[in-house]
Amino acid sequence: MLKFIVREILSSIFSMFIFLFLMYYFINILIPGDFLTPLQQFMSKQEVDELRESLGVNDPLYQRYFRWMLGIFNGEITTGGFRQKSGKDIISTFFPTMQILIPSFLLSFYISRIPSIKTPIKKLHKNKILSDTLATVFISLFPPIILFIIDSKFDNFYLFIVSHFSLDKTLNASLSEISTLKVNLFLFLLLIGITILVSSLIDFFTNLKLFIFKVSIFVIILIIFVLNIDLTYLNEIIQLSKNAFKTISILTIFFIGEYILLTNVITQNIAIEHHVLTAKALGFSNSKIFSKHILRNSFGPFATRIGLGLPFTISSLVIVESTTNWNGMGSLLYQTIMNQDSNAAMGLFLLLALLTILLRIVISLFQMIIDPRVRIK
Amino acid sequence: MIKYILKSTYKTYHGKIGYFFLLLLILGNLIHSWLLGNIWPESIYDPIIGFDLKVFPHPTNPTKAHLLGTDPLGRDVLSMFLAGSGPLIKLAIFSFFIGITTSLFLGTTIPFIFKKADLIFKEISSGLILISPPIILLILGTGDFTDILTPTSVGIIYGILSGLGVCYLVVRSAVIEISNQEFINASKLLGAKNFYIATRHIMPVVVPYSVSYMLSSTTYGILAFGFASFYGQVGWTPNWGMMIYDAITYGSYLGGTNYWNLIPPTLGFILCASSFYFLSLSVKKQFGISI
Repeated sequence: MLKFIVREILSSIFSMFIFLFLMYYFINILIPGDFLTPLQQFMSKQEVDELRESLGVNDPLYQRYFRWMLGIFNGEITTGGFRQKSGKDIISTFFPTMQILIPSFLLSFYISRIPSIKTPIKKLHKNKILSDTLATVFISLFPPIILFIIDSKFDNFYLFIVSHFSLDKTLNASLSEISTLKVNLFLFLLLIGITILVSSLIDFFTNLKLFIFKVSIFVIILIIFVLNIDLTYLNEIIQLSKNAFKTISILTIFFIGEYILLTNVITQNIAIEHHVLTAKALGFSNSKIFSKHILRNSFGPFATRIGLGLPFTISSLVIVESTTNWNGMGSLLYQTIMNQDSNAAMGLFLLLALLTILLRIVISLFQMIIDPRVRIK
Repeated sequence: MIKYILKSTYKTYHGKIGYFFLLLLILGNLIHSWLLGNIWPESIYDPIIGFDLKVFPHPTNPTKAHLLGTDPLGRDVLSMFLAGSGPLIKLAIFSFFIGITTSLFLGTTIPFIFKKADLIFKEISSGLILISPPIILLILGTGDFTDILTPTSVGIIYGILSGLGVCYLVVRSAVIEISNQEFINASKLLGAKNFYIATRHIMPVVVPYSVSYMLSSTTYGILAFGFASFYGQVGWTPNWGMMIYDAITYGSYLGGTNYWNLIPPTLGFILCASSFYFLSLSVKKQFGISI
């Protein structure tokens, strides 16, 4: 397994450098001006030109790329002397992105299995017209439209929560005493906890089964939350969670269409395999055939497709986060491109590439754990 | 082969729905051109600069003169809706054919003939996969390229990136699987040249992979163009993304967003994107492509 991981990492690093090289050229050639251009509002042209010369902005592109790469190895992802956004600003967006990406992925994964699970096994090989059509509608839904539809409903719901639990009274509590890290961690716990609760409910209503492991994780999260949170933090987290849930909802709808279609096609193919027919002939229950034979085997092709579709996931982050103004990597990337901040944009591309590689390796590892055939290969 | 694939997709219900939606959109666009040339006065019904002075205030609900009402800027919604399909279909066609050509030609010849070059090209392709076309559109949209970001040029960009990226990798893995099969060894023994085998024996077998992937990529191209249009990153092209932006933004200043302004572009996106996705699904089902 170690050999596999090392090979994956080496191959990914090579691809990442090609990607960064291309993006560096794209950004510096295609975006007019450079990261010093906005300074022209405050400084004379001559001063900006001098600054440009001293920072090496007029150097050939390959030299600047090389300098940037050296900067990465020294731990500074937005080198260039002058920055609109610092490396710290950029790295701080990683966690908010994970806060919404993980719950959306898990939710869409669980919801996408419902049409297949609810289909009787003897009909599983047939086309699922309704769910396929619904899935294509989800794929084609434009994120700003989804936001437009859910926005007021979320606002009303949160207004109700705030007024019902008198949370607005604690709003003026000393905000400076609130630790951003603690708020972010608890927000993440809240989002993951609710995701696990929803997925357990889906399991219960589709399979009539509750997985003890999932329920116990939810209970642990709930206990941590109740024991460690005070009203000031709770208020802050609830305020933040409004936008988080909006973003998660849009991202889930964005993913879910493709996941439903994928699961439908994959389970349709697996349903006609010999081991499923044998299990059926031996009289195994529907839920056992699903959990042991179909869903487990469906993960391999599903993971392969998800791995290939990761750039789509990344681009959807840019679209969805900038729609809801969620302060993650996607929304910051949109802002940096608009502000001609090529250094910060490159830092974000680096982070996004690392995230893609990390996700790809995690997916491959899951595949190896679940499918012994992949392990042997 | 492509003709055969397109014919065989018609046999599935996915294909039938896909073609039906596509036909609706093409017909809508043709009808729009005819109406604008013969019946509708351009000053009122032009999808970009039209304005009906007789109606005030805008937006309005459906009337006899404006079957789907008008938008906050006084333009006819039906005219905008019908005109919006043209650019997206153009984008889809360019992206589809360019993606197919590049992925098929390079995906079959490089892994089969130039095996050492394939190792490098595979990594380049994996690097290209990371480049999300919507991000490229955003970058282009910030520069002096807004006017040249026409549906055709976006289609070309999308086609090249998808064709050399994900589609190349999918075709490549299919080619590697096929190149060990007996009929390939037999033709090698009979003295066929590598290029002949790649283009005559391997390429036809991998065409469905390329077609299905390019059709689904096209769906995202349509949405990405809509998104770029929503943020004003593309030139003055009638587009549903722009319609949604105008309806939400200007609508909020002018007495609330009118649902008559939002439903047609949303429906347009659903019809257009799902038509290509349905076709992609039907190719996958007809040719047993599971990933």
